[in-house]
Amino acid sequence: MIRLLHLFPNLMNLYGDWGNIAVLDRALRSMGAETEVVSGDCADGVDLMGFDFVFIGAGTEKRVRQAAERLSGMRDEFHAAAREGKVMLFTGTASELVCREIAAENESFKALGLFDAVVRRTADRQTGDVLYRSGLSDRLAAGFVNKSGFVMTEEPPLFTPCFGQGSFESAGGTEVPGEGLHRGNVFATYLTGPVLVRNPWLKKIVAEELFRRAYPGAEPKAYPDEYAEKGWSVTVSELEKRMNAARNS
Amino acid sequence: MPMRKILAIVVCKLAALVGKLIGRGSSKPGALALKICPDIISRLELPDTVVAVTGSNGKTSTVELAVKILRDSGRRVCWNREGSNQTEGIATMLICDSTLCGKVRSDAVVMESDERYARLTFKYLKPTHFMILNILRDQMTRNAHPEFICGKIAEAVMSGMKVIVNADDPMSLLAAEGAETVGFGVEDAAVPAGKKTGVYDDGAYCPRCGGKLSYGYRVSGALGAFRCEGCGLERGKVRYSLSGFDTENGVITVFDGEDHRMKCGINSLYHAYNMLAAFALCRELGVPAESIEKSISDYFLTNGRVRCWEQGGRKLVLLTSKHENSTSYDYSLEYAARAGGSVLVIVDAVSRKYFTGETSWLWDIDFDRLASENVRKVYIAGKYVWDIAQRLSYSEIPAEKLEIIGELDGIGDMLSREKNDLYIVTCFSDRDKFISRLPADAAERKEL
Repeated sequence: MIRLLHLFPNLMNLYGDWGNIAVLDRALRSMGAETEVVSGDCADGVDLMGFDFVFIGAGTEKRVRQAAERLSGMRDEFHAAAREGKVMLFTGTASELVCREIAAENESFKALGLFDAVVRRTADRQTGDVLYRSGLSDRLAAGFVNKSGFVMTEEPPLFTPCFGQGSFESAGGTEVPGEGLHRGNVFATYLTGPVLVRNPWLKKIVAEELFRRAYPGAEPKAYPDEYAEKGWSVTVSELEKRMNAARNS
Repeated sequence: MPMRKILAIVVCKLAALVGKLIGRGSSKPGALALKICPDIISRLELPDTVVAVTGSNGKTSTVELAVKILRDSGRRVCWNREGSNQTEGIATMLICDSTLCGKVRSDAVVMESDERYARLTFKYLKPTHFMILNILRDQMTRNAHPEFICGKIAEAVMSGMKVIVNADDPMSLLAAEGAETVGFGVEDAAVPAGKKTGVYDDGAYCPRCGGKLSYGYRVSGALGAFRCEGCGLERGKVRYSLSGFDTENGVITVFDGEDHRMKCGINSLYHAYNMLAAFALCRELGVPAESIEKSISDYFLTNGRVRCWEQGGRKLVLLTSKHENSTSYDYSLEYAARAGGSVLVIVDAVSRKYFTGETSWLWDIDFDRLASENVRKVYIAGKYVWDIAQRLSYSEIPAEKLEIIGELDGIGDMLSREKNDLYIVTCFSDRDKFISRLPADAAERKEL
């Protein structure tokens, strides 16, 4: 049995975040796994060790603050879960929660600190379509960011932007190429919304890791994913056209 | 400086004339005027009544209804018919209605105002009446999120203006906090049967303090009789209410101390809300209720968002919705599912104004509404057809009911095969692509 936890489905939900859990659940069942999905806005009493996958989606800046407060008593559990290799995905502004601190204009507050990174909130917003490269696959990550913050860290990035906005900046406030954080099985990215829906290759990586951990030695069944694959191809092709046009201009 | 003002007015009027001849948009002339004279709007002599209508959904329709009412009551009204609702478009609208000296000729200005730009436009012209219809998920690619928009609208609210606000919407009430407000809202008895929330719940938490919201009843999504258990934010006082909605016959009752019954030109809660808003606004502007009833009862909007053709013994109904706006889609799908027939969803270009390949909003739409037995077949088409197909595979729509058309060129063949009434749900960016593929014998009707 693979247990999937969707934390804060209402509190942290900007658009289509539930799709991540839906497609992952279907992929796992198609691979031959038994699954259970649990979701809730209250983190109190949740035993992270009882789950195989934890997901938190994007929220408004105010909601990130509230989520950080609700998670403040669970830092040790998150750290233990990360050390144990539990698969965790934080998308959109939820990716800020894995950092040590979130510094806004009038306040700063502590987050989970799974990475040695600090978020600097900005008055302006950074929104737009993006294409990212990564060491996870030859395939590009396509999506959208909707944020008002940059990450200062020495950690290696999850992605390198090919087109659109990244999120890393130096201590001096200069933007440097990089987006997202990744260590072990913890993935955090400003990519917003149904990230696993739009990037079936990333869903496959996450699903296979979950399957491997739950059913050691078993071979997962192949599953059909025609719509997702074709959707990804169209999006990447359109964004590549944009990227090339921008380069040529 | 006066020369600069006159030059700006002349250039704007000429550019608008040229634009009209070549069929171009309505914001460029205003942009030219603003370049010549940056404070041209504040230099115009405005009438005593200046109304701005903002919100995520319903601006264009509410403004059209309000203008119809005001004109029928004998007032001369200047309005942004083309829906150009940013500062440049508003400059065009006002200058084109003004004398060369800059006196706006109309008795009233009624303008649709962009949620983000209202605060900028109002630096130059302060409305006497500011209507906030709703603040919902909408075009996140440019609007970030509803809380962000709430903050922008709050910046536009100034002392001395009367704010007419949707009292059912926590976010709109928050934006209007501190202002002199008049509320309108929907009563429990008028809420149509059926689903009140879709695939997400933006009414779970208070936008002010983050506390839990509880509801006496829901109207739609976060709209309803809400109260925050934390800070006490609650549904506002209502001066104008939708007290009844007979969905069988499409008749609404608006209460302002007395009942006023009107027929809905489009039989949907969405349109009923817009009629209520227009009623509230025009009552505040002193139009008698009887005159309002006469003006908009059974009025079919001319803004082209809903169009109907008769062809081969069936109806083709175009329900122009907003891509990147799940509420708009939910209302359209609800209407189609209730009316009965087949449905075509087209997503080819996500936006007509800017490029984006962002399709996450498809996962916010409640496509389960199309699982209704009333819906015979669901067709999908456009560049992003595979994104829709994937989304629909997670809905309750039976697989055998779904047909993937693919590229838009397949629509013609489908239209020749499909014999049921067909409801076409798509956006401004794609609606003309459908219209250009209509069969030659399709005859447009002026009613549904």
